[in-house]
Amino acid sequence: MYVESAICPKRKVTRMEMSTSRLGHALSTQNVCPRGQAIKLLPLLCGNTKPYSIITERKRFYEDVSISKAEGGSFEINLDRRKMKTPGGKLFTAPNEALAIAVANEWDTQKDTLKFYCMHLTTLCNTALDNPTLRSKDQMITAALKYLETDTLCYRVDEPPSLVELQNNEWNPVLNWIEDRYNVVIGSSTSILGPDIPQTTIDTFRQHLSSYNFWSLIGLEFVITQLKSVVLAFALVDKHITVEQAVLLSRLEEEFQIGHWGNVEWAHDVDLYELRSRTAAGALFVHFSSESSTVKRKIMQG
Amino acid sequence: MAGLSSPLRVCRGILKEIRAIKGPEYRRSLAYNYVFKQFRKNQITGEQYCRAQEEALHASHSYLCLLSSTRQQIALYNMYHGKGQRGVEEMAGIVGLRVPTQPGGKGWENKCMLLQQQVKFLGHVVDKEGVRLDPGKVSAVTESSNNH
Repeated sequence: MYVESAICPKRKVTRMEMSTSRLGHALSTQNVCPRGQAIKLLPLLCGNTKPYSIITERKRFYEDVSISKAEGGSFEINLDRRKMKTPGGKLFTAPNEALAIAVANEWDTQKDTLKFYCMHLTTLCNTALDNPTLRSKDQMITAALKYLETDTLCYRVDEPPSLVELQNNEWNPVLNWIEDRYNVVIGSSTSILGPDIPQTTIDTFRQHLSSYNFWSLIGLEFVITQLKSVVLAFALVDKHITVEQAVLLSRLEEEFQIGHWGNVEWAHDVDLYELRSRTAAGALFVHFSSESSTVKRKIMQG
Repeated sequence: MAGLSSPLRVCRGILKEIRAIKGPEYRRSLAYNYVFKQFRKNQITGEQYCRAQEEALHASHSYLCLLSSTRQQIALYNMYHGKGQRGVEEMAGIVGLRVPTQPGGKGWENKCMLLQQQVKFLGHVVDKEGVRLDPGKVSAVTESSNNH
């Protein structure tokens, strides 16, 4: 008698895998997963051995977005009476009303399908709340300052002369501003190794960055990574330049080539708007996380 | 602070974006009310140069940039990339190639068996003890001989 035993191990995908996978992090079922919808999810519900299917799209499953104030002064977001949670499973709390409203507006903007790649403020808040890579303030400051060695504004070209002139005209003022404001020396260079940044400069910046709180640092690092420049990030966060100007300065060479060779809308414009929205989100995030507003009324006289 | 438009323009811009998002209900949205309140609040101060005012203006300028560039990004994406992917066969056909056929045909995943203890293969039964004769091969003969 031959007993045919087809032992097919049914592997349940664990929660751990869900949260560490690239998409699972953004779109896990913990994120207010409502009455099971027709979502193509990992086979943890069906338990069969179908191959891994990527979450293709998530429909908008809520009607209203509102915020509510919780104890401690933080704000929560409600999607249709349910509280919003981060991908890590924690309750989503924003430290102030402005940020909460901005995030609520992001969720409100979604029509039909949720486009998580456009919800930058939500992503930043989730990163700040979950801290999935468990970074400390020091690690983030070190990573941010590393960008200074390869700062966009410090790398100049030798030719063509019109580009050299453009870079000097546009980038030098910002460099001068930051050198004056922080009393540091940065300089620029045309060599492949880049400028020599003295240690005192780095120390000054490190000290300045330590004064920011954790949330602001996350936003700041985001802006630095997007703009590929510490100088521009500081200029933006210190409100010396606007978002559009920062993006323009960051993409200066690209804009120069576009002006010379022409614009390709489906590549250049998409990049431009994406960079603008990310940078704007980062700048706003830093602003909201580091501001505190009080109202002092003047006593009316007479 | 070069390049910042007047507060009125920024406020109008933001409200226009919110209206584009929300449709006719925009007056009741959270964002609208908050933005309106903030602009009002910052108008009240009587100072000539107020740092908080400048900061608020910059922040609102950034928010306007965020809303408009997100909207434009989505619009461009839908226009150029959102048409839905063409199938693999179609893409291959464009350059004059054909997709190779799967050896098992469609649904090969269901026929694929992994991690079995015992498998029937080419008339033999293979398991950890070795290769044996498949009883199905001789079942016709043994059963018919039993009947005799």
